[in-house]
Amino acid sequence: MSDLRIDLNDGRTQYRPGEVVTGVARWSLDAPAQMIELSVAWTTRGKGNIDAETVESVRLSDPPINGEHPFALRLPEFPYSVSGRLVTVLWQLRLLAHPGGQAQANLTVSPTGCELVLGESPPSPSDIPSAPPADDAQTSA
Amino acid sequence: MLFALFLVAGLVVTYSFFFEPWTTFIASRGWQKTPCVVTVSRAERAQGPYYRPNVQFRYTFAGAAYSSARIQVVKPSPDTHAETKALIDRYPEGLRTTCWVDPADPRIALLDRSFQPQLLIALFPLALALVGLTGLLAGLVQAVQPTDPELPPTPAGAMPVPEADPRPVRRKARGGFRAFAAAAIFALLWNSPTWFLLREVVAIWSEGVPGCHGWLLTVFTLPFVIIGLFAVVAALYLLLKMFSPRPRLRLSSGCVPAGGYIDVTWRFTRWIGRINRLRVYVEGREEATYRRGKKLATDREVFITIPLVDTAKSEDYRHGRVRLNVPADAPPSFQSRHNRVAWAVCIAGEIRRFPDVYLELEFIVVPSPQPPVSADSTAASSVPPARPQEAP
Repeated sequence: MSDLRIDLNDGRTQYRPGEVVTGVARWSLDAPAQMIELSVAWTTRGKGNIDAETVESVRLSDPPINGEHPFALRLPEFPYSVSGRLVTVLWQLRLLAHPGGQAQANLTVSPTGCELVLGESPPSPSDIPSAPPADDAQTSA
Repeated sequence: MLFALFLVAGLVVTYSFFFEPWTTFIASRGWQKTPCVVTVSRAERAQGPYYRPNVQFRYTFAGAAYSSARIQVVKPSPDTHAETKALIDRYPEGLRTTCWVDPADPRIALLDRSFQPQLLIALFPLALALVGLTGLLAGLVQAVQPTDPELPPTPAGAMPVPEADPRPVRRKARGGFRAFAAAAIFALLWNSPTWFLLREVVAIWSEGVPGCHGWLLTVFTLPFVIIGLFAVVAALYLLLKMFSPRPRLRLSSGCVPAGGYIDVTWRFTRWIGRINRLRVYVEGREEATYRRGKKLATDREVFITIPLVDTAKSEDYRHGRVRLNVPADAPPSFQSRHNRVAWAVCIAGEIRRFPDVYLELEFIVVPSPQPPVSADSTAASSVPPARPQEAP
């Protein structure tokens, strides 16, 4: 049975937008593959139909049966990893052998390195400003 | 299932009530004009305040004498005394006139073979049957050739963020005349034929508990009456809404970075005295579009509401401005084919015993500018060649 693995440098899975994901893709195939593809992609999960986009990929033609491939893939500025009741955005690194098998590693991409949870911090009632005068007064929310 | 019901109901009612009058009307074009004498002409009391005309006439066809009591193609239903009298006055006893005799069966004859508007009521159940048939055929075609109601694809490589435009954006509430006109026209078109059906049902019930046909017509008519009432209520609601205060919203920019500021301005054009409470707030929401059966449906969920103004002071209603500070941790707007994270400024005015006022204006939250990532992680996505691994 083919064995494919993605080893991220230092086991790191949390990244900021624009950072470069580095690591090594390793594989041990039962039979020669025509191609091995490593890609970084976002995909949606949740109630809606799934949307997905591969933002960068590397293809290796006629790879050896046993091999490894260091990689450095730059993440885009957007979208962030998001988790909501209806919409969730996930980032993934995928290693795919044609024919063969596949492996994947989940990433978190956001300015804080943590997934944004929709609706996690609602404002307190004290955030409501007093009513502004009818003319040009400005208040901050 | 619903279309099958429409088809069956439409066909049953058409056949039960209109097949015979229509075939008689068409066949009578070929009947023979024959002299006749009216022998009976009187208004007979039906149930309640209604009367039914009883007109009989005698005629001779091919040497044989016949008698008939059929005046017109559509058999008269119970009516008011004045209307019944108007009909029998046309055919007083002893009147020598002409009738139309079916040469194939001379026992059948009509005094008047002209077109009657009541025949047009048949269009109503026929249209219902046609809708049912069309729906069934469409379902059949879809079953054979399933159509894909997918949304248009996102251009390859497009970023999943709506187009951000930093220019000011504005929106004003529509007058609502078109919606009212559409609802009013629909109510009129719907209720006009329904009125004829209802009139028939009332006439049938006025004679006491009806038979099978009367019950069938009653059950058939009820849904149309209910829909007609809803249409009238909807038209009235939209008419009232036309006289609601109309808000306008303006944002100083159509896009703002998380942590940034945006000026929100509102203005009402008229009748602000009716508003009891005014709220201006920002909503962040998720939208997921998914397949439900053969169609796409969209669900929405508000994940954050940021109140900006909540006031019951009428002097604050007419116009105002407030500065919105988008939270630094606000998730940026996101848009793919079926999934969306969206932001909108909403203005809602509550009016007692009147349709409320509501208007919203979407804006884009873009990611806040990030400090550059460290030098060691800015290397291009250089890909060294694959190297074979020693076999274990």
